[in-house]
Amino acid sequence: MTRLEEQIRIWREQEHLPVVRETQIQHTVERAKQAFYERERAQPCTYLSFVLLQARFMRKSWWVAQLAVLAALWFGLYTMQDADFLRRGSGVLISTFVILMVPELWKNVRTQSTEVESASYFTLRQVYAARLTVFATVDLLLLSLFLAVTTMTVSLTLWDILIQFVIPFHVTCCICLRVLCSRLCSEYFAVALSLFWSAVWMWIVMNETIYTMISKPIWIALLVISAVYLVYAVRRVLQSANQSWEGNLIWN
Amino acid sequence: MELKLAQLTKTFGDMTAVDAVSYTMRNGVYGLLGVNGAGKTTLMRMICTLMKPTDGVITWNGRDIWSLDGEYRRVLGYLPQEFGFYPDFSAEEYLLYIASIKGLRPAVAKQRVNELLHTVGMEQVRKKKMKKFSGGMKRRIGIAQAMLNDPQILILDEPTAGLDPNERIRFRNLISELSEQRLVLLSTHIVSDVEYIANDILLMKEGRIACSGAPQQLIADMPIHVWRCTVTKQEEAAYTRQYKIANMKLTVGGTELRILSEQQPCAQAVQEAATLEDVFLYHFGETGGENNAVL
Repeated sequence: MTRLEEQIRIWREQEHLPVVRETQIQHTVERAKQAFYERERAQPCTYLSFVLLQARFMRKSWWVAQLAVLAALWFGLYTMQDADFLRRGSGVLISTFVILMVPELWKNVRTQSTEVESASYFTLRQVYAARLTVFATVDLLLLSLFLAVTTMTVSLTLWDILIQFVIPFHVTCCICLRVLCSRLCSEYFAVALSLFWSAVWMWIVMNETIYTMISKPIWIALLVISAVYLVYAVRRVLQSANQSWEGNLIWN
Repeated sequence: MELKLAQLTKTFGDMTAVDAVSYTMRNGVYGLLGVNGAGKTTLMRMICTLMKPTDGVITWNGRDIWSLDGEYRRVLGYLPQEFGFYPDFSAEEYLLYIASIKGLRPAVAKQRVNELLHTVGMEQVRKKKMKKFSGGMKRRIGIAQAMLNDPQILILDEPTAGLDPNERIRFRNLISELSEQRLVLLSTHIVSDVEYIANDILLMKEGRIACSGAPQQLIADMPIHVWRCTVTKQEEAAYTRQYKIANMKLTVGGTELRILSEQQPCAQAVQEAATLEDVFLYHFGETGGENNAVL
């Protein structure tokens, strides 16, 4: 016993304070811990906490890559302000931005983890919903940042943004999500189809005759149709997620 | 605690994978034995709510598992035959991820992951990426993920597939250790996997439960006997055609046969004690599981 401890003991005796034994303190701490864990075990995690937890398990490198794509696009637009071809061709980079979501969205299909995930408390549908929510939130932040910087530094109209960025973004998202819930469900197919779409888009916007032929109402119609279809594609992914085993013919 | 299957049927087009299966399970280890294509995986997937039955119901303590939904899956642990995992995750990361989708709160998840890594003997490699693990190590992580929520029902589909004999024995002991106070349903086509640890065996054939009961009961109920005799090389083919042969061994005096037969196959044949393997052979024949050895 150190001198200080001895002094404390004497002081406690003089003050008639109760003696607290170290073992009893430890016992109380253990009991408190046990009670805490029992309570925590009894209640499942809330869906909001689940969504936030999912962000922890997603590879951050894809977001860095997405940021790099947007930075490259901004740099191109900034340095070549008058280049019309670059403004029109930016849809290709926007498609690339979306394609970078594919590995993360497909990772449970690629690694055959869906069977374990489907038999868990949170369903596969909720897992996909959480991943899409996290991706949508991060992408919204990245795109907002990109658009804020671009509109401040590059002469870009809202019309340009809607036509050159939003339409290709919507269509690429639709392609990826529809492939995800299709029977084929191949990430390579999704990427190939997205690249094909980029080529088609490039051909449309770079061909002056065709580009000028498309009137404003057609662009608006395309924008609305792609937005509506995107909502439908998200719904289809979530609906099909829980039925992924029904058509599975591995039945032994 | 009671898991009840009532007239459970699953069809894929005109193919019936599970055909009107009725069975009740309580605490203990149940071994689901059957050859490939018997319908074991489909049955297990229905119990795990991955597939809806075409007909019939599954109830847990008297309530339909589909209406219980998440509440049922909270008490369920499942290790599928093709155990998928994220190769770039470490063992610890992977278990924490599965804990999150099992609805475990972070504090509990951390505690359970530590406990289970210790139980399956993977504490030392907790930070190692899963892609660097051997088949046995992956399976151990597989069982750990199934145990994360301390399930009352543990479903293991061919848990020893692809493991070497040592790993299989270790895995069998681990399952036995974990089976206390819960219902464990273990499917396999390898008799020795369940012979010593299962309280009850269900023999599944063409989507139906051909017979069920304690291993000793199944052996006692087998209506034929097991005989051992040594025959010449010339006689061997005739015996193979006429009887079910459980084992053949070349000896100095000829070929020693282990025969399943009602009658004594030859004068010198001596009766032997039957094993669960003989019961399997009796029900499924020598072609049972064709490509898969019955050990």
